[in-house]
Amino acid sequence: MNFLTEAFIDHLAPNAGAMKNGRDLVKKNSFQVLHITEDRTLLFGECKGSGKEPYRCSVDFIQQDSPVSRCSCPSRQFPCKHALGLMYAFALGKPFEQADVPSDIAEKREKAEKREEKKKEAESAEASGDAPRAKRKVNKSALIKKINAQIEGLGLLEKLVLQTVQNGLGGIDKQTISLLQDQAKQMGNYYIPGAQAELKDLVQLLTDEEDREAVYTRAMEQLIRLHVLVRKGRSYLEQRLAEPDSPQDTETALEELLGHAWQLAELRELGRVKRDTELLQLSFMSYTDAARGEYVDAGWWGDLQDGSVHITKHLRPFRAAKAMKEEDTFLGVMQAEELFVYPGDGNARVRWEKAKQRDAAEADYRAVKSLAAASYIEVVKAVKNGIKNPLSDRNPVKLVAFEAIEKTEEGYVLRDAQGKYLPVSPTIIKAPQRLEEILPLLPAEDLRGQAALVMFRHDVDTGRLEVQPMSIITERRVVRLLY
Amino acid sequence: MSIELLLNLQQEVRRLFVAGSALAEGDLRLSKLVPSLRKIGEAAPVFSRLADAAEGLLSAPRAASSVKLLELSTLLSAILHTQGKTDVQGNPQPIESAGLQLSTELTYRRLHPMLTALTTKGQGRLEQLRQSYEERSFLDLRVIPAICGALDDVYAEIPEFVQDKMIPEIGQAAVPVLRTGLNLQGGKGDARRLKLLYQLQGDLVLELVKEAGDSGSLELKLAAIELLGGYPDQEDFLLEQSAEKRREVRQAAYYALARLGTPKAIGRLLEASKSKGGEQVIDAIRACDELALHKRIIIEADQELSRCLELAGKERVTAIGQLYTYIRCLEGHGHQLAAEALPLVKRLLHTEAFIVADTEAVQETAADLLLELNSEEADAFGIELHTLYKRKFIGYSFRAAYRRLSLTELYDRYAEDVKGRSASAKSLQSALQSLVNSQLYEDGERGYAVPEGAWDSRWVHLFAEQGMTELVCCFAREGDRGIPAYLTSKLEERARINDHQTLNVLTTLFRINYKKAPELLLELLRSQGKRMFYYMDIRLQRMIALLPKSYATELRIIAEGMAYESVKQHMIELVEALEAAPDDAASERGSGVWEWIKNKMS
Repeated sequence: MNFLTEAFIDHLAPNAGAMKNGRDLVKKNSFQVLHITEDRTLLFGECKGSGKEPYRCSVDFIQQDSPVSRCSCPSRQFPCKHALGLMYAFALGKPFEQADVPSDIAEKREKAEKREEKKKEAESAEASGDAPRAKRKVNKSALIKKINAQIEGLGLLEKLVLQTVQNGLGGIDKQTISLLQDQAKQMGNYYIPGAQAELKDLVQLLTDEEDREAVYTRAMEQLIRLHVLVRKGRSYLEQRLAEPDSPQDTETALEELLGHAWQLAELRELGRVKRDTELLQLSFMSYTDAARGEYVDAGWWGDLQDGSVHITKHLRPFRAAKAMKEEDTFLGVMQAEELFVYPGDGNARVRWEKAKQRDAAEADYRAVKSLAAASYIEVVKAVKNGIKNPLSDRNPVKLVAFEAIEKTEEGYVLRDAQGKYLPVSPTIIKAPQRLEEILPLLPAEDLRGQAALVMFRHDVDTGRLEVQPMSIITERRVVRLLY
Repeated sequence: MSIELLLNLQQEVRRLFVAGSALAEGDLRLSKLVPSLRKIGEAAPVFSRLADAAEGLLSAPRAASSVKLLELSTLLSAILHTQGKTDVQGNPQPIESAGLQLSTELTYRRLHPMLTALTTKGQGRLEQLRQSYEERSFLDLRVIPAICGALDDVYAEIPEFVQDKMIPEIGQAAVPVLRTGLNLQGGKGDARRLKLLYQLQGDLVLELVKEAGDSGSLELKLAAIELLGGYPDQEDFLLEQSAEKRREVRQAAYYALARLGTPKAIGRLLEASKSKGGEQVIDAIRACDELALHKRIIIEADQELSRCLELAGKERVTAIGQLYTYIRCLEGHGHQLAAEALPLVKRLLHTEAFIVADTEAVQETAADLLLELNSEEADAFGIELHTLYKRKFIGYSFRAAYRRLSLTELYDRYAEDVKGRSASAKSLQSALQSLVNSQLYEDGERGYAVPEGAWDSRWVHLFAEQGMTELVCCFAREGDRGIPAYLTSKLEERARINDHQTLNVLTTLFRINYKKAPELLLELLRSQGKRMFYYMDIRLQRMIALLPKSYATELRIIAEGMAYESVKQHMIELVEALEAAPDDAASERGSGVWEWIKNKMS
């Protein structure tokens, strides 16, 4: 069980609090009984809790990649602090006594095995063509009803947008804002949560009391976005209404923008699966999306085969956040069996169900570095082409090579081999660590002839296109400037 | 393409968004732009489209204006997004790299809370920093600027923690950040930076320290003076600073001079102690290791004493004040100065003319100094003070005697004086009590009895006779005759469950293994257990844990009747612990249960 290191256990923990609590249990000697089976696949023990009876917890490593934790405590977090503590106790070298597998766990293992077998049978049956997987049936009349409601909702949204534009942003006061808030809430009845969230974004902007002038430009951009969303969304929905059998749009992110949550099964049916992909995380960030009411754990990943930058978004709605696992920076290489790619242009959002992990090696860093775009002319062209669409992601992320990071009076710049520059702005991403303080601390070799993961932003007020480096990728490491 | 024109158009569009499209009809400033758009449109068709859209807006009726404005702005925005400028002003230069080889592998879940604690305000931050420090997760390139920035934090404990713990461990890697952050005209945070830089780099930053001393702001100056105390070649500078107008600067300079300890420095300190604000230099002189200074002060003090005795009126008051300052300067070095200081102290306390009301403070300081000398001769003199001046110094005498006399001698000499409520008896009692207290607190935790063999066994009976119950409790030993009777009689007089003395007496009875002690405790619980509110005294808990197991049932009944829920819960826990304890090893069991309870409460 050499793989059971503290870092590995940290990775399993649902949040930082659980990590600390688990460790504290070990420190306080709360474990009265610590057992391990002879084949070293199961840890189990008893941990003192607040009640009379100790909690009985166990962690099953019969499948090494996805250990199963069980505990008699009522926590909704998995693994709970007791199971984590059990693993920490092992990693920290506490003595474990050898014992047989308890009968209840043996039973559970058997059941799980049977489930697994059944699943495999079904899969092999499908593969051999005996029983093709049933295509998911669509209830047509329900679909038509839904689309009609969506169109109606977009109509309502359009009215709001037009009214706001007609009356002007300058005239918006508290009363108008609360009216808009109410209407944004009402939008919830029309199956277009994405559009609803965009409206909430606008309200959020207007609520910001500080620096009204700076807000106007962004509000204007948001109104344009809403306007285009209504227009494109409506024509797409009307077309689907005419031909309910036509497939969903996968060329653009329109479905997601309207609020469709893609299911993995749908993506598989639509053939949006990449097999056996290796990904190296290049940057990570957690932020709060107030308009959508959720925390977002975002990871940016470099595809080791083609160098494209994917993004993972782990969404934790406020209401369920406590019981959900918080994602964290991942330093290894993720080997995804099936990589599900969401529709959309720019940095494609991806997900995977099953993945193995391995440590990152220099070859991986070299691979990512070699795949970075060398010419800024081309990168900038591609970025501009993307962001001119009001519905696109406003902050595309690219992997670019640089000859050097240099300094001017106004700030830092990246320079490519042709002597072209990309100006750096340290304020594109909000974070407590400041880029301008960190860059000059780096070793000189990291600032010459390396690659960087950068986020672009077009500043409408100044008309400048700037980047913020998120990470620097050298041949021996990833220098993470964010997380 | 004319970007200028596009930006102008953008300005107008933005203005209309703010004002409302309802006002766009026939807008003058917008219509002025249309001809130019048309003109460029001849070469670039997209400008014609913009002109069309603008005209559409200008001529649209109020109701349709918003759609038209959105159309125009959508087109314009798309065009502008393809025109983002990436040019760079000036001539880019290579970055001067600090070349830190620190890693950036700390994960979000560890890094983010620490950064938040370092860069925001609010509670719980120090706790977070302590945890990060314990986890060693502060050795990451990205936190170093934030850690150094926290030196300016207004919540003083954070910069202190950062300065004392974190930055010294970061070591040289913090130097470039501290260097760039340092402002010689700054405040406390910058003083910390200067000290850290010196701590990490030593003589390499000496010039910088000197500069701070010469021209820095007050805080920086103070820090620099403190640091320069180790440099003999800075003597002149420090002497100069010790005459500065600002009190803080002078004081810092005194300390630095005391550290320096050169003849000139000593001369200056002596001079300062004679000046008007002589009190300010006392602490600095105490901190000085160069005893030549103190020896000169002893000589000065001796002369001052003579002056005191000669002078009268105002001048006498000044002289007494000066003498007081001198004697306080000697504190802390008493033992080393035993030989030199004893004649002075002797003269002070032997001169009858000096033992008067207005020199009281000097007398006491001198007596304190006498004890501090801690030499056989000094103590012999101290013991002699026993009966002098209406036993005014009996307390000091007793303390000196405790060090030098045998247990019986001590008792024989002072026992009679303890009795009664006279002023001298009281001062002896308080000296005794403070001696006892220092013995009780020896291990950091308050004990319940004085060490065995530290006192004559007759004391306890004397205390009982005098009704000094507190002391009886500390001195009682198993087998002292009559003591249990005395203690139980005290209980009969007054027994309250939350009363300090009651618990003390009971604890003592348990300690001396009085047979009926458990029964007495139970009786108290039976009659007054219900009254116990809010919390349970630790002594009470300890005694309950010492009870025989057979009492458990009754204790449970008492617990059930308790009024206050948390105390009741606590009591039940104690009872459960008692029940769970093994039957055998009755003598050891008490402490075993107690350990368990302590463990549970921590």
